[in-house]
Formats: sequence, structure tokens, C-alpha cells
Amino acid sequence: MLLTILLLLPLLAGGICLIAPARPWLEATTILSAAAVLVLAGIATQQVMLSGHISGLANWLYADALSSITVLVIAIVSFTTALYSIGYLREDMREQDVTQGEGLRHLKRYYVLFNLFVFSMLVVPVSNSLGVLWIAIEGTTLASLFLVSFYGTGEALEAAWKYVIVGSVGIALALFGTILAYYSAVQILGTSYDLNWSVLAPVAARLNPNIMRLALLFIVVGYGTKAGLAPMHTWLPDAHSEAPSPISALLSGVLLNCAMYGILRFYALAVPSLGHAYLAGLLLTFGFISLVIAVLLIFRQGDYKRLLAYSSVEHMGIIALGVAFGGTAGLFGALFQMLNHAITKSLMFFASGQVLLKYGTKDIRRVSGVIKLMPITGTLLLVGGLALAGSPPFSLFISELSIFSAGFRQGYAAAAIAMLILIALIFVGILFYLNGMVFGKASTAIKPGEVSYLSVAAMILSALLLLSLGVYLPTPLSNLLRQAAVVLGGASR
Amino acid sequence: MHPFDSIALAALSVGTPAAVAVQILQILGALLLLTTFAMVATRLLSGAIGAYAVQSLVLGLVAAVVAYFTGSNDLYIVAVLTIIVKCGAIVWILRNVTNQLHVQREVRLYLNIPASLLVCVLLTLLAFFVSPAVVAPGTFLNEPPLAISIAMVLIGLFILSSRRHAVTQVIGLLAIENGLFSGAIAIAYGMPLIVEFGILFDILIAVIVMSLLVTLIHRELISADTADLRRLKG
Repeated sequence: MLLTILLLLPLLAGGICLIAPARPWLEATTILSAAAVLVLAGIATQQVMLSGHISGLANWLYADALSSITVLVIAIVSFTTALYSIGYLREDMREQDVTQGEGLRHLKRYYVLFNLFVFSMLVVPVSNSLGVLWIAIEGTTLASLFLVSFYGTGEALEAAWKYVIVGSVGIALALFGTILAYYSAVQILGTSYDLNWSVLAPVAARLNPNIMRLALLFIVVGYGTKAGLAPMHTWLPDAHSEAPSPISALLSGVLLNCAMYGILRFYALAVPSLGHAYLAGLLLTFGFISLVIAVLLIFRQGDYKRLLAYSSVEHMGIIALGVAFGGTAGLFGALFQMLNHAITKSLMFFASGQVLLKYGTKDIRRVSGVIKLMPITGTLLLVGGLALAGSPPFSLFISELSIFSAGFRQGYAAAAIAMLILIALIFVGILFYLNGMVFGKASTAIKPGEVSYLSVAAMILSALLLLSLGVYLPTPLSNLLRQAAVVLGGASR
Repeated sequence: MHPFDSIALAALSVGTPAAVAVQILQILGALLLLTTFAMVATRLLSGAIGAYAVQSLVLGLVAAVVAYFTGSNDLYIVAVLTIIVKCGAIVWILRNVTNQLHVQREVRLYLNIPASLLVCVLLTLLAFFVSPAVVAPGTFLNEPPLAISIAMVLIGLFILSSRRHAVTQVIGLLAIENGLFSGAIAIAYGMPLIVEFGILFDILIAVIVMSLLVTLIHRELISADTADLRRLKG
């Protein structure tokens, strides 16, 4: 019941936005729905903690600790993004008439698709069926496509086209993986059974390992495409840089995690029959390619939104490495990294959106002195940048440290050291660019002052979360992360 | 496509219904492959769309024949829906979007058509070569149907990477999807009904959304040639 309402809320909000007569309605509906989703996600998490898992809608919906974390990530980031969107769009569309006609339609399209996008992402972690999981991940592409092309420029359309084509090919490969996974259990469960996690998990150890091996290859490559793992990441920098900043935040903060959730779910399904070593090899490969590609492209980047996009590739790589290293510490670190990256990266995209509105350029070299023109945004940009690069006392430092130590403990010492070196390089790169943007001489042609205080509020909220998770990890959250690590099969090793 | 593992042994004698079914499915399988080649062989968008329509019809028939011999009511529904959604709705949408464009054929190819067909033949051989590896020995699967599915997927990928027209790329994607659909029937008698519904629905929405995007790109760039989309780099 709880899960059903959780899903219905954004769907309903999307419907209301479709018929809403004016801007305040759109804004109020979206923010209220996002807040309610956040509250429900909290309640659902609590129930999951108490009883291990909850289900709903005639067993179509199912949530355990792994789902709960993903739901929480989606709920938190979509709430801050909803808040940020209001301020951002008010400023961005200031010169258009949004009370009627084309302007209102444009605005409406944004809020309707925003809610649908959140809906499709929420379906991913709570669906019991692995087929529905696939449908929902494909749905996220379709819902977000016109958000990516929102500005309608040649570049935005190009990014959207690349996004839908590359994404669809990836997702098609994942479908093949799903079909193979279905087939792997046909000998145990008969030729027509529900492709449900709750059906498959109990027989996971008896799945046909030869078929599962192939299935997982397709799943990792397929969902990895949407998760932004290199070398399948090609759509990501374009989509992230051309989309409106709040949408970039959602894409990077949540969508990538949804796709990663797909990989993790299949990982959990495959570990009992395949063992950890094969999967670790697969994830290590893609994880390292992602880190290396990120390093190479961050160092020759001239566009700060693309810079952040490549940093997402980096962080997805780190998450893959965390799972590959395995053990409780590795899985715990990977899941915590998902949460931390989502909050940090959305904060960074929020801040970069403010910079874009102020300076009107995405060129790193033409932005300087942000802290003088916009003191709060500048400070938050610096805070977020430090956090993103992985410096203490922020939470990404803790999760990366956990992954690093897991590497040593599980016998991947060389890989862990290589990871550390790559992360250190990225640290230098990000801070170098950020230094130029935040400090330096401010242009006198631009009027000082924050762009939008609503947006600033959303950013402060994210920054507070980030900082507090860095100094203190609440017991319920760490329990939840541990439980999710158990779902992933970390406890047995 | 090969629902015969349970019935095959009992039906070795020629002329029994099961043996007839094997033959029908073999013919349909060959048609599937042929229509995929036809997509590559034509420069006209209308030709490729036509090939897709025939392919989807054949696919619906495959599902229906398999449904008949397994007695699966779900598969009948899937067969009917496949024909309605793919041959009806999707083909109609693709025709509509093509009619709006100035250029309705592939003008410049990355690889000319004879060479493309040669590549497709090689891909098909590759598919027949790898499919035994996919199938675990001792399972009830026979190889050719799956090989055809894999060939369709590979050729679809090839269309995506070797053609520049946006509509042809959509058709490449659809060919991949048809290949996967037939693969699901070949190895597992199709997926659970609700999943099949969802997939069909997703495909339909995807085609609608992509057609809208093609229209927008066409309006912005006055071309639907994806080679003109190359401003974003690095």
C-alpha cells in the first residue's frame, strides 16, 4: 500500500500539472509531491528496517534495504531539485511570458515531464519483476528525453538524439541479459513463471551458471551504458551539459544510480550461482576504464558542466570498483558512495546553473570571481567541489576510504592503489579549474548578487546534508547500508 | 520458434503436425533474416519501413505458431498485439514522420550497399557460429532460431552505426528489438505476459518520442542526417 502511494504521488502530480492553469499551481504541485515522496520514502525505509522487506500491489512491488537506499536517494535529490527548479526556471524564463500561450506550454512541459521522470525512476527500485525494472529504466530515457532537449537548440537536440540512441542500444542489450536470466531459471521453475526477484532469489544458487555468466555480461554492458560507465558513456557529457541545470542534477544524481541499481540487483542474483570472482573482473574492468577516461577528459575540459559530467563517470567507476572489491566494507562503501555522490553532484549542478544564469557561458576560462559576485553560490561551489574531489570532512571521503580499505582487505591492493592515484589526479584537476572559477578577478560588467534565493535554499540544504553525513553517520542509515550490503551478498564472504 | 523439444521426438515422422510446424517455423525464420537484409539493401526509407512491417508480421506469425503448439494463450495475445502495435501503429508513425522530411532516402552512406550486405552476411555467419556457445548443452534449445535472433541484433547494430539518416537509425533500433523478441520466444517461449505488454508499450512510446525528436531536429537543422549532428565533442 505504502509503495503504491509512493508511486502514485508523482504520477498524480504530473497529471495535475498537465491541467494546471498557471505557474503557481505547477510549482506547488511539484514541490508538495516531492516532499510527500520524501516522507513516504522515510516511512518505507523504516518498515524495511523492521521487517526486512515490504511488498505491495499484489506482489508487483517489492522493497528491501537495497531498494530503500535507492528510493531514499531518488526522494532526497528530487526534492532538492524540485525546490531548485522553481527558482531556476523563474530566472531562466524571465523574459518569456509564462502566463499564457507558448511560454506556459513550455513551462508546463517541464513540470509534467519532471514528475513523470521522478515516477519512472521510483518504479526502478521498487519493482519486484526484473522485466518491469527494465521497462522502467527504458521509461526514464523516454521521460527525460524532452527535458534534455528543453532549450531546443541544435546542440540540445543533438545531445537528446545521442542520448536516446545510445541509451536505447544499451537498454536493448540489457533486455537480452534479462531474457537470458529468465531462461537460466526455466529448468528450475518451468517455462512460464513470473520473472520476480522474490521468486528468483530463493533459487539463485541453482540458476544455470553458464547462462547467467552471459546474462550478467549483457546486463553490465547494457545498464552500464545508462549508468555512464565508460566506454559506453558517450551520451552522458552531452546530455548533462545541454540539459537545464536542475535536469543535469537529476540525471547525474539519480538516473545513473537507478541504472546502477539494475546492475546491483542482477549482481545480487548472480553471486550465489557464479561466485564473486567473475563479476568482480567485469566490474573492475569497466570501473577502471571509467576512471581513466574521466582523468583524461577532465584535464582537457573547457566546459564546466561537461567537467561535472566526466566527474560522474568517475564516481560511477568508483562505485563499480567498490562492488568489485566486495566484502562488507566494499559494498557498504559503494552504496554510501551512491548516496553521497547524488547529493554532492546535484549541489554542484545547482551551483553551476547559478553560474550559467549569471555569466551566460559554460566556458571555464570565461568564468572567474564567482565568490565576489555571488558570495553564497561561490562558497557552495567551493564546498561542493572539495567534497566532490573527495577531501575530508565530507561524506564522499568516508565512502571512498571505505572502498579503498576494502580493496586492501579483499586482496585487490594493486587495484586499490591505482584507484587512489587516479582519484588524486582528478582531485588536482577539479580544484585547479574550481580555483579559477571561484576566485580570480570578477568581471565588472556583471551585476553582483545571488540569482535566486529559492535556488540558494536548495543548495544550502544539500550542502548541510553533505557536511552532516561527513561528520556523523546516523545509526539507522549505517544499519540500512549494512542491511543492503547483506542483500548484495556481502555477509557471506 | 522451436517449441518442439517436448514434441520433437514424438513427431519425427514427416507429416505430423509438429513436423509441419518445424517446417513453417524454419520458413518464417528465413523470412525474418531476409527482411533484415532487405532493410540494409534499400536506400529508400519507405523500403526500410516496409521491410520492418513485413518482419513484424512474420514475427507475429512466429509467436502465433509457437502459441498453437505450446497451447499458450498468453502467446496468442502477444502475437496479436505485436501485429497491431508494430505493423499498425509503429509503421504508421514512421510513414508519417518520413513524409514530412525533405529527403526520404539515404543519400550518402558510410559504407556502400554491396559492402554493407557483405558485412551482414559475415555477421550472420558469426551469429550461427556463436549461438551454440550461448546455449548450454543438454537444454531443450535448438540452435538455428537463436542464431537468427542474434543475427538480427547484430545487423540492427550495424544499421545503427553505418547509416546516417535519423529514421534509418530508428529502424535499426527496431530491428534489434525484433531480434530480441524472437530470441525470447526461441529460448523461453517469450517473457511473462505483463513484461511483453510493457516492452511493446515502451517501444511504441519510444517510436513516438523519437519521431517527435526527428521532427524537431529536421526543423532546426533542415536535415535529418545525423552526420550533421556533430557540434558536441570532448
